[in-house]
Amino acid sequence: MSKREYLRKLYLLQDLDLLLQQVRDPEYEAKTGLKIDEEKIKELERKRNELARDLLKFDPVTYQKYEMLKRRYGRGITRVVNHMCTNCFAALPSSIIPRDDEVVACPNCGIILIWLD
Amino acid sequence: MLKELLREDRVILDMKARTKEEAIRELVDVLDLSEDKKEILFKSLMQREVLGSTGIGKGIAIPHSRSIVVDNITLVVGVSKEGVDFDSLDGKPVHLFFMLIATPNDPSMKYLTALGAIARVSRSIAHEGEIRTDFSSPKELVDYILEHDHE
Repeated sequence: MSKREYLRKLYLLQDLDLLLQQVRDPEYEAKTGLKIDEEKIKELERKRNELARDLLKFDPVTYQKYEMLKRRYGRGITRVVNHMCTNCFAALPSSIIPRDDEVVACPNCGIILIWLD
Repeated sequence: MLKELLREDRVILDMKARTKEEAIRELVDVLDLSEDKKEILFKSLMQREVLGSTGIGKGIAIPHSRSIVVDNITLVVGVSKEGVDFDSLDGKPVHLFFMLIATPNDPSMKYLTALGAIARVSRSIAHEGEIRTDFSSPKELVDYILEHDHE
């Protein structure tokens, strides 16, 4: 798996984490009236944990960093827009560029960065 | 709340979709995003549908998700004259769609508040009985929705 593919999967994991966080929020059902079947949530958690295991096995350092950042910011990976980190909104130094051989982090807040076309 | 989110350029007056996948793709296509980002968003919305349909019944659906691809909370409204099979709670075809996308970080709780406002408007529209699908302009549709937004 290339680093680019790894980041894609890490992003997918974050998507699942956000979805689980959303449907576990008691306000969600109260505000929308949408009730989610507990068995379906458990199924989603199993899918999430399976993906997390693969990511941990392939690159434990990045995965653990993701988990640490998620605890701190509520997410571990963010998009770069106009050469700016969309987590802390700091302008990135020109030396920060997308790389296929390594995971790039924001030098200001430490979040993992992803560039999307 | 909805007044801030409703935009006439993010409205579809006559959706062509007949299935859930087609409807979500058609709504996503309204946004000015690259194909790559559209695909990410589509998958995220479909993942939410796996947990249970966002077709709340009475002809209305609220597909929604948080996604890295948007910079701001974004609402797209679509009308289907024919109706779309969306696995709704009451099994009825969906004629009115509210697709809401929020950024992953939502410190002001705008996302849940917006979802709540859409659910409230939907209940108000559903309460009238039949959903209107004969809008001649985006403005007319936006005004119709706002008429039902009693905070």
